[in-house]
Formats: sequence, structure tokens, C-alpha cells
Amino acid sequence: MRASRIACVRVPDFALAWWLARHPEFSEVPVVLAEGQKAASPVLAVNSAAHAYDVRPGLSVSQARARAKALHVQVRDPKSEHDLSRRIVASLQSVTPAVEEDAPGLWFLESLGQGRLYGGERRFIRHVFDTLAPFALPVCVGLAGHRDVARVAAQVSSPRTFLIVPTGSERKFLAALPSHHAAAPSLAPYLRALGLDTMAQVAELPASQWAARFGSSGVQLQKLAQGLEGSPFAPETLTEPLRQEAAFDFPLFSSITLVERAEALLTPLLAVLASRQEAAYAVHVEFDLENRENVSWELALSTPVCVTAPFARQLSHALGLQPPRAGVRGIVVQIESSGAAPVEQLEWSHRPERVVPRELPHRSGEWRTPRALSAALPEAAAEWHPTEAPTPKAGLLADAPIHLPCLSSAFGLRLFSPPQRVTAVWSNGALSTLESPALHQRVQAYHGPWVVSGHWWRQPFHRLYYEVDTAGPRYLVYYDRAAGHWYVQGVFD
Amino acid sequence: MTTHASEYVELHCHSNFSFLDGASHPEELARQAARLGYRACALTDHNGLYGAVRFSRAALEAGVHPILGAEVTLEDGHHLVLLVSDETGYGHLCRLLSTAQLAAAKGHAKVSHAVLREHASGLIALSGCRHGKIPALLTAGDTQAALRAAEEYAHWFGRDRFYLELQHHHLPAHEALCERLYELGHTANLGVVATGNVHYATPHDRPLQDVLNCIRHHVTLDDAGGVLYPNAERYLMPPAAMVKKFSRYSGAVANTLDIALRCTFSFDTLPAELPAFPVPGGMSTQDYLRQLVAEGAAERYGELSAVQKSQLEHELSLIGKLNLAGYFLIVWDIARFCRERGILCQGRGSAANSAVCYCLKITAVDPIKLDLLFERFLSEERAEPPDIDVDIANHRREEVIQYVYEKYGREHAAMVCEVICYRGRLAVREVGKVLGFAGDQIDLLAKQVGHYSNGENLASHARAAGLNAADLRVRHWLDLAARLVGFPRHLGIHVGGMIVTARPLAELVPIENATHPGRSVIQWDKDDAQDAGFIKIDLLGLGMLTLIDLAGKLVQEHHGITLDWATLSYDDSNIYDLLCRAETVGVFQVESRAQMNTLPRMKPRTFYDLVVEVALIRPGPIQGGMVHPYLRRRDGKEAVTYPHPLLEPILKRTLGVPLFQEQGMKVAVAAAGFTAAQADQLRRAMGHKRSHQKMEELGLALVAGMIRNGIDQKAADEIFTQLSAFADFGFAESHAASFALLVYISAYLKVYYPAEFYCSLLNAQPMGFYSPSSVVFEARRRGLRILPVDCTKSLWDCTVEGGAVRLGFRSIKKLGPRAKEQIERALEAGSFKSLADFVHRSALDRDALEQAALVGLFRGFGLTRRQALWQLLALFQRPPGELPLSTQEEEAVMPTMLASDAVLADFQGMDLTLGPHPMKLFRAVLTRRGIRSASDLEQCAQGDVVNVAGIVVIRQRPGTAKGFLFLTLEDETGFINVVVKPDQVERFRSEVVHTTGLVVQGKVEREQGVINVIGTGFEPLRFGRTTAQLHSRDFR
Repeated sequence: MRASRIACVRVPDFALAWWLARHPEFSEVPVVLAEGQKAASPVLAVNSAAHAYDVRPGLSVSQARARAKALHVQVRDPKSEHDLSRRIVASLQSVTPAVEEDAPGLWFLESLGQGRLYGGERRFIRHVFDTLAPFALPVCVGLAGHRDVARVAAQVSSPRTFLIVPTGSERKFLAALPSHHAAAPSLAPYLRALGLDTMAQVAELPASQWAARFGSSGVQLQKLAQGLEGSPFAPETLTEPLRQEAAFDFPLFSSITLVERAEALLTPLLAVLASRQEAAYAVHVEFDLENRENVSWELALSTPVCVTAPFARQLSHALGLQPPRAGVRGIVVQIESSGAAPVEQLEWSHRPERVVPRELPHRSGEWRTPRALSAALPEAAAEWHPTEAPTPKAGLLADAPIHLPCLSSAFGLRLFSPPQRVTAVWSNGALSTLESPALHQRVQAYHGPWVVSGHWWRQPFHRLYYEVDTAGPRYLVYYDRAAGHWYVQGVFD
Repeated sequence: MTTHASEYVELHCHSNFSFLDGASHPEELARQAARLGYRACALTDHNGLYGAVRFSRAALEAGVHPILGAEVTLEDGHHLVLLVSDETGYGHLCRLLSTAQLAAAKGHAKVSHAVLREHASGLIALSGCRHGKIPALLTAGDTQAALRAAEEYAHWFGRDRFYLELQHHHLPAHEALCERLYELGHTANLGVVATGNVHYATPHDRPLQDVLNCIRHHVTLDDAGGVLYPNAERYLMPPAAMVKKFSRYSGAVANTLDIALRCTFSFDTLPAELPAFPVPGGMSTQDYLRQLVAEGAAERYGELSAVQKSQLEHELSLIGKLNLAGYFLIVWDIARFCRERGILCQGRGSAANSAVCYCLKITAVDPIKLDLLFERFLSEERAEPPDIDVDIANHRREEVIQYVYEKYGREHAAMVCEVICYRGRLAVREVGKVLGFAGDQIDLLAKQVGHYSNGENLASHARAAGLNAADLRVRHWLDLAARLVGFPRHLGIHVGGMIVTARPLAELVPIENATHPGRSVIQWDKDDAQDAGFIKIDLLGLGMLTLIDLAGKLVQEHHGITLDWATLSYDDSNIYDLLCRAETVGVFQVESRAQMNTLPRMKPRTFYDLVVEVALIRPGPIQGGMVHPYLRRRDGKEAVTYPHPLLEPILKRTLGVPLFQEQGMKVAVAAAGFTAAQADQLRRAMGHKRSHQKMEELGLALVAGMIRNGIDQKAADEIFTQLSAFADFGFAESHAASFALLVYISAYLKVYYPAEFYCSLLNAQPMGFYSPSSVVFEARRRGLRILPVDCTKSLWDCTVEGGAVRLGFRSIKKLGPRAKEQIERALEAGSFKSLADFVHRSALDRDALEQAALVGLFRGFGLTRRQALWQLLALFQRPPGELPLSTQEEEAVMPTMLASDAVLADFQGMDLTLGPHPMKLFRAVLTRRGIRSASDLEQCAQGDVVNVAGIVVIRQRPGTAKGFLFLTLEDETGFINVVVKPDQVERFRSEVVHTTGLVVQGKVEREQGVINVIGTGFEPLRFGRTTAQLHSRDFR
């Protein structure tokens, strides 16, 4: 068998650790990473301050809050986890080109010969720590003859420490370790029930018996317990992202200009993709702001395209919602390899020869899609069915659905927000006039009152509604019993 | 009833028996109707007469004429309101509802048009709410179809018995609909009638109605939208308001009164008589009863004494006079069936006062010998029929129920229902959900509220749960949850109440399917059934009879002795010794903590002592303050005195302390010259549902009678006061005597046949106070060997094996009824030869087999628990169909299981262990901490401060205990009684209410051999993973 040395780099609770690294001010505050902000969302990871309150992964957010009043809940962001993991892969590739990303927070490095290069395996690992130091993460490293033992070694290491397992002593190293460290989750209860608490006990039972009971996962565990290689190391080759950036002589503020510039940067990237028979469905745009802050967006589509317009529209919309707080000094536009797909996979019928012209026509901030390109846009593939009006039933007598005794149903109701307070003048027991600074209408007829009440559990209301016919329009008027005031809620146009 | 132009009667009204729709109790509606000046009011719940009896009773009490009816759902989904006009109509409505309910799944009853047409006479129909066919068609604009529907209904019911219903809740659509209905009435020459479609008594109840609506639709209030009514107008409006509202619709209000005048049905006329019992040719039922009693008396008494003769004659003549011979024959027949089938049964309750019942072998206690009072059971003046309750061995009760169904036919027999009502915890949960509180907030509050809470102290529970009780939504939560408590939620089956009738039952009360297969229930509970005039027979399941039955069979099998309980002498000192030592785990009625505490003080030596013991530790005597005086007098610490010398013969047996209801009656007879029947009336007037007016009347007569008999006014007043205080709490002596029999028998089995006793106790589970784990530990402490479950030796049930008890397959938690069938079928084909053979033939599922392996079921094949599991795992991997022959692989050596792991596996798999008690595993640590065991407490003196620890096996917080909580802890040496004072309960709530294992600091209190620890400090005791497997039994 070919000799190998594999290092495993592991960051426990990767996403939370990354967030805490960026927010050191929360080191004393109980913090949890959760699937969502909702009360029922599960807690995925907790920091030590939260742990002190007996907050554990698996609780719901509200259960966690009940235990730690000052709890900060950070919602998981898989996309940024993924991005960070990719950045770490890129960093690790500067140490050794053969890197395997197993999951966010777990990477493997080919380390054979690295010891000679760096002056010993310990120094090599030190270099790995130094490389990852800018991330300020609690990294653990294990180094062993193969991938699985390296993972276990990293697993049993404390944060910011490492453990080297010399070649040939894998079985000895594993022997005393608890078996659940290495077992698949489905196996763990059986190991406990069978009293197979250590890897040594696992190793003693013949592989054939493991296979007969637990299939491949049993064999894998037994192999590992014997210090044998299980799953092979599978390094990846990182594809360089397509990237364009521009710096401006003076800060830009206009959203229209910014979108235009971003689009200009995106166009050649799409052209490159088109030349590879690929299209993009995710584009990363980052603005470098005057105040040294950066803002970025992930513009994503459900279907890959080779045109800029859908991304431009998304960016324009994003800027509309949240304009940059300072002038923009530079823009970076990037398409990750994961953000592109081969053209063959596209479902829409238009091929990428319809590359967007460099200059997209636009007018006063409102994007117009050129007619020639519209068919290429993914949304053009969707069909729109207008809602059909129900066919009236063939008439029986002069039947008609019941109409309200008032005429309101013949009109559209325009609601005032908030309703306008008015004075209702009554004479001879009948409503005669509606008055307000903006309204003075003599009442010709009215219908009602209709009683509407409710919402007692939050903000109770109790209103008497009238439809009031005046010389002018017809109004929807109500009397608020709680407040003792009259309001016009809307007008029938 | 005379009419008045401005009078209005509400004819469409839903109570909370329109489940999860109506928001007021029927009684509230009746009382509110009376307050508003209604002269009559209808109750029209959805598809049932569930609340009819209560409503009728409350309305009559309030002076309102009750009209019965229902809003039925028709086969086309439309609603129709049906009001009962007369007896025929009532029968027809019951038949309609029964047919619909029996033909549909629960909650989906629909009345077919054909059945409606056939049973329309005697009913008055209203077109219903917006879900009625006519309103729905008019709303859709289909006037012609509406006209046709109206004509059709008018044809079915008669033009003068069908009305178009106008409802107006101040909504625009209602006004339009009223106009259309009014026009339609005019066109079709049909009457119109105003109704309120009432869903609650006052507008104040509207939030509760909204909540119920949301519960029904599984939505929160915030998401409810159109599920909620738009305003609070569906309350019982003042008649004047209704008159004004409908003034423009001529006749709409006047017709309400017209209809009310035609609705004359009353429950007084309900023909609920029993079916005629088949008797031998030429005999009357009375003669036949007389003959059976004579035969039974000869068997029971031999030659009759004059007293016996006269008592039997007195009873028989009264039974004849009240025409109840048929009833006694029906119950006799049930007891006969039980005897013939070898089903253990015994009458309980006041029936044991009857010598006739004794001779008919319905009851087992001789009332003449015990000087019991027949009139407590039956008297001429008593308006109600007698109540005979029969206890039947639990495991065979279904046979008896099915016999009754078979004998009288399903048309004539059904069980009474149990109205399942909201209790505190469920109300908190459901209202919390509807108000949109988070799940864990709801959990927090719900955990604070006990299972059986009546919604009291919710505010303090909320504070304890960390909720801000001042917050509007929290206030609503607590208020609405408290109001929801007691609301009916659904129907269950009463534990044993059956009614049989001569007329088809479905014409007397609506019947519906029970969830239990093969059973049907009426829509009333036992009280309502009784109020409506039905005679109920209670066929109750009793676990102790099962135990006695099973133990008797085992004694026969292993000792060749047939135990005849009738021949026991009831004076065996060994049995009384056991009871005096309070070694009563598993003994009927005296195994509770309070009974165990009393037995060493009481020191029973005679059968009557047992009768007193059974009656003494009851809420009544405890609340009435009778326990301590009795025990002090018995102990000679207090002189035995009597309120008057006349009362000495009556109270002598209970040392001057009145304990039994019969004594109260005898006092009235002896001191005031009351007849026994009058005395019974007095007991009832003073009893549970006391009537002040009646009590005052009878009280005056009682005092006058006493003065006439030479008792001075002061003493007479004192006796009356004592009687009235006692009447509500006293216990029926006959009932206590019936139970005392079972106490003696179960103690007899425990003393002389311990293996058979414990074996049967385990097989009769669930029953009694103690979990199987406690039973097993207790048996082992008493020196009985308990053998583990073993697939080569065990049967499904536990068995007796060489003087020891062998646990059966039933001990394994994951083996349910299906597994029972599979195992028994496999065992019929021969015993199991190997693990593979067991897996193959038992065909149990994987989970069950794994659990069985871990509790050591396969030890008989020479396999340890872990070896068995290891081998099983290999067998599971075999392809389906491959024969599970022995494997060729070499034998794997699995690690030996530690004792603690074995205990954990046992609790996980069986809820009991034959290994060391979990507390024993911790004893060294506990001893280092100065924690004493249960046996150490014997050496402690009064007032010693001690630390004790144990598993909480029982928690009791009886209503009579004024907030005290009683814990029973168990360790390897026995039980520890802990008393927690109310302030400590509040302070250590989480520990004392929710913790499995407890360390308790407290003071020792000793009294006559009874040791209690009065807890002052509590901390949880953690057993690691075992903690999750231990459970207490919590009682109120």
C-alpha cells in the first residue's frame, strides 16, 4: 500500500466559531447558532457562555431563551458558511495543493513530504495554524497515516492544538478511544448496548461479523479500529473564480450608475462563460465603500443565464431596498465555479449566442429589457394565465346573488389610511352631516349600523359601520365605541 | 302559558354541548333566560341532546319552560333546526339522531332525508342558520330552488310546522337574507320566525366562543380570519331587543311564542321503564323473584330465623310495591351469568344493605348479620330508583357487557357516557395555542398546572412559570383557560354504567358509537340518565377481583386447593397481624400511604375493624374531623361519649363517632322517631346535592321528634348540627363492608399464598397504588424469589415456579397485545429451541426483539444479554425467506454487563429490575453524605433531623389535605414517608413535583409505629441515565 500522511483540519461548530471570531465582544454573552429566529427553530451550536446556562444544541430557540434571558441568537447562513469554507480551502491550498473539503469546518490535506519541506510534521502543522490565523478560528489538527485516523485525531484534539499519530501506531492510538467518536450515528446506540465502549473492543471482533450485522458502516468502523484506511483521500482542484473589479477616481453614489458599472464588469465574465458553453446563475457583487466598509450581494437565479439583465435588475432592487451608506470606491464582480453550469443543462431554448450587448438601453432608472433579448430571460419561459371571470349561471327567474341593501357593491372601495376623523351631526335622530377640516357633506341616506368587533386579544375594537350617501361620493363611516369618535374609513369610487 | 304581544322565546340556542362551538353551559343559558324574563327557551345543540337534561332541570328550577331540540346536519350538509313538540316528536328526534350517529364516524353524523321524512311528526322545523338549505340557496341567488326546498320541508313537516328562520346579527348580509326569507315566506305562505342563533349567554362570553372556534379549526386567533364571527351579537338578547329588531317582519316574534306553546314535551313523561324479564310460564316477575330469593336464602342462611324472614318479607313487599322485581331479576341474571362463566363478581355500594341482594348472590355481605339498614338502599318515599353496582373481575368485564347487549339487544341496551371535560392543564394548553403563545411557554405553564387542576391559582402558576401576569394576552390566557375548565370536550364511555329499556333505547335518548369497538353509548352521563328516569346498572371493572380470580386458579393449580371465599371465618390472627404491621402493598384498599399510616394505630383485629378502616380514611371522615377522635378513643386516650344515651346503641360500634350514613339514619329513627324512609330523605337532603328548603323542613321535624322523645332542645340542636355536618361526608357502611371482604381476602392470599398473590398482582397490572417495580422489590424484601423472564421457561403471564414467581413475556414493555398473540401461537407449537427459532416463530418486530435481548429473555439459550443482541443483529441481516439456522461464525465474546448497566437495561425494557435496587448502587456515596436508608429510620427518635433519599414512587396531593403533598420514597430497604407542607411545596415545587429521585432533609415524626419525615429541604437525586426510566405514580 502506498505510504501516505494526511492532516485533518477541523473547526468545531464552524459557523458559530466564525461568527464569534468576528464579534469578540460577544465572548461573555450567551450565543447560540440556530436554524432560524422563530421560537421553534432548533439550536445548532452554543458558545461556552450559553453552555453555562445549560443551553444545549437540540433545544428550541425559545427553550434556550427561557434558560438564558440575555441570549443572542445568530441565524445560520449556509451560503456564508460555504463561502468561508471555500476561502479556507483556498488558503490551505497555499500550504499544499491537495486539499479535500469534507464539510464546512472539516478539511483534509495531503501531508506526505510536507514534514521534510517544513522541517518536520510539527512545523508543518504550525504553518497550517499560521495560515489560518487570520480567520481567528479555534482550529484543531490531526495528522495520521490516513484520512479517518486523522479525523479522529483532530476530533480528540482541543481547539488550537494538534495531535500527530505516527505511521504504524494508528491502532494503538485508537484503542483507548471511545468507540462513539468514530461510529456512524446509527451504530452508536448498539455499541453502547453491546458494551463496545472502546475502539479496541471494536477491533477485536472479526470484520466478517461486523459486516454481517451492520454492513459497510460496520466494516468501516472495524477497519478504522484496526488502524486501516477506510475512505480514501479525495483532494479537489480548485477552479479559479471569474472575477472583474474596478476602482473609481471619485466615489459613486447613484444606484443607476453603480448598477451600470457592475453590469459592465459582469458582461465580459458572461462572455467567458459563453465561450465555455456555460451560463451563470450566481454572481457575487461587492462594493468597496468610502467608510472602509464593504457591502456585498449574492445575486442568484433559479435558471442559469448568459445575459446581464436579470442580475442587473436584482442588484437595482437590492440597492433600492438598502442603498450604500457611503460613496462607492470600487466594485468587484465575481462568478464562482459553483455559480456556473454547462449550457447543456439549461432548460430554456435560447442559446448563449444571444449575448447581451455591452450597452443596455435604460431610461431614468427604469430598466427596459430589449425586445430581442426578452425571450432569453428565464422569466420569459413562464406562462401567464389571466384569471377568468366566473361564467354567470344561466338565469332562473330574475335570480341574482343577494346584493347588499346598500349600493356599495357596485363600486370599488378606496380605504383611507389612517381613517379620517369626522364629526357626525345628527338631527331628528338621523345622521345629517359629516364634517371635518377636509370634508363637509350633507347626508342624503345611510345604511347601517353593522356591528363589527373583535381582536380582543391584542387591541380590541368595537365599531358601528354605516354606508353614507351624500350629494357627492358614498362614504364608509364608522363610530368607534371605545374612543367615542366618528371616522370616515373609505370612499366608494 | 298565556301569550303577550311583545313576548319573545328563543328557539335556536347552542350550549357548550355543541362541542367547541357553544360557549355557555346549558345551566347558564337557562339562568340567563330567566334573568331576562324569558318564559320559555329552547336548546338546540348540534346533532344531539347532550345537554338536554341539564338544561331542562336548570330551566325548570329557574322558572323557564324548556324546549328541547337539535340543529341537525342533513345528508346534503345543510342544517335544520328541529324542536320537540310532544312525546312522539321526542321519540322521533331521538331516533333521527341515533340513526345518524350510529351510521357515521364520530362527529360526522348526518340525517338522511328519508329518515327525516319518516320521523317528521311531532317535530317543528326551522329553516336554520346560513348553513340551512334555504338560506344557502337564497344567498346564492337561487330563489326557485329555495322555494322548492321550502315546499319540500313544508310537505314533510306540515305547513304549520315548518318556519323560515330569520336571524339578524347586525350584519349587512343578514339584513338582505332576512328580506329574502320574509319574501319567500310570503310567496310560499309559510310562517317566519325570529331566532338569535345564540352561542353564548352574554356578550362577555364571546372571547371564549372565538377560542373554541379556533380550537375546532386548529388555528390561532391571529390566523383565524373568517373562522370567527364578526361581532359579539350571538348572545341571549333581552326579549324587548329582539322584538324591536324584528318589528318590521310581521309575525316573526309572535310565532316564537306560538311555537313555544306547542312544545309541551317534558322528561316526566319519558317511558324509560325496564324490559320485562323473561320468567317461567305462569309466574309474575314478583313471584319469580320471591322464588329465587327463597332458594338463595336457604342456601345462604339454612333455616331462616324470624328476623331473617321478616327482613326478606319487608324487602320483597317493598320491591313489589315499587314494581322493581324486574330490575332485581336483571341484576340477578347478570350475577348468575358471571357465576356460570366463572367470572368473579360482587355487588358493592348500598345494594349490600339488602338481604334480597344477598340471597340473590348479587352481594356477598350479610346485611342482617351486620345490622345494615335496608332503607339506605331502597325506600318507598325515595323518588329515585335504587342503584346496584356490580364489581366484576376487570379482565372479563367485557364478556358481561356483551352478554347484556346480547340478552336485551342493541336496540335496548347501551352504556351511559362520560362527558370528558376540559381540565386545567389541557385548557391552558389549548387556549395558549390559540392565543399564539410559543410551545415552550405553554409547556412551562402547563407543567405548573396539575393534570387534574380545576383551573385554580392560574395566576400564581403563571408567575412561577416566569410569565408576566399583567400582560393583556397572558391575562386573557389565564382567564379563558379558567373559564374553559369544565367545558365538555367529547364523550367517553362511563366505567360501567349500562341502561336497558323496554322501548327501543334509540327512541328514548340518542345513541352513538363509542370509540371502543362493539359498544354504543347514550348521549347522557349517569346523572342525566338518572334524572331522566332511567335505571342504571353499574358493571364496574375491579382489578382486585381479577387478582383474586387469578390467584385462586394458581392456588388450585399448585396446591390443589379450591378456595371458597364464602367459607372463610374472617378471624385469622395471622391476617390481622399483617394488617397491623401495615405490610399491605397489593392489599385491597389499605395499601395507600394514609391507610398504611392508620393501620398500626387502628390495630384491626376483627372484620368490623376492617369495615371501619375502609370507611375511616376517606375524604368525608377526614374533612369531618372524625379520624383522630376515633383513633384516640380506640387507643383509650379519649373517653367514649355519646350525644345522648338514646344514641349509644347506634354509635357504640364506632366508639361514639358517627362514621356511616346508616348511623345518621338510625339516629334520626331512634332519637326523633323518623321512619327509615324519612331518615333516608333526611340523609339525601343533607347530602351531596343538599336542598336547604328540604333540610330546613326535615330539620324542624327532626328536632321536634327528638324533643318529643325527651331530648332537651340544646341536645337536639347539637345532634341536628352534628348530623348535618356529617351527612355529606359519611360513608355507606354496606359499601365499606363489601370492600372489607376484599381486604380480608387479598390479605389472606398475601399471607398464605405469597407467590400466587404476587404473581397475580403482576398479571393484573395496571392496578393498585404501586408500580410493578415496587411490587417486585417488596416481594423480594419479603423473601419471595422472583425469577427473570426467560424464553425457555416463561409464558406470556407471570407464573409460579417452585414457590417462586417467574416473570412472563408481558413484563417486556415493547411486547404488546399483538406480540402476545404471536408468542402464544408459537408456544402452542412447542417451546423455543434457539434464538433463531424464537425469532423465526415469534415473528416479533426488531425493536421488540432487541429490547427482549437486552432484558435477558434469551438467557435460557445460554446467551448473555449482549451475546443475544449480537446474534440477533446478525439474524436481522439475513435476506427475507432465508431460514434462520444456526450461524457458522465463531462465537464472539462480548463485554460483561455491569450491574448498573443491567439495572438500566431492565428499567428501559421492563420498568422493573431483579438486580439491585438503583438506590443500592449509590448507597456508599449516600452514606458518605450522611443520608440514611428507610430501615435506618427505625432507629431515629421523634424530632431527629435526618437526610433521606429514594426514588419517588408515589405522589399524593388529596383535595382534603389542605395543600399538603405526600411523597413515598423507595430505597433498597423499604419505603420512606415524606410529608411536604404547603409552603414547602411552593418553594420546592420543581423538586417535589417533577423529580424522580429526591434527597430530603427533614424531621422525624413517630407516632404509634408510623414514621414520617416532615421535609424541610429537597434536592434532586440524579441516577445518570437510569433517571429517565424511573416514574412515580401520581394521585390526587
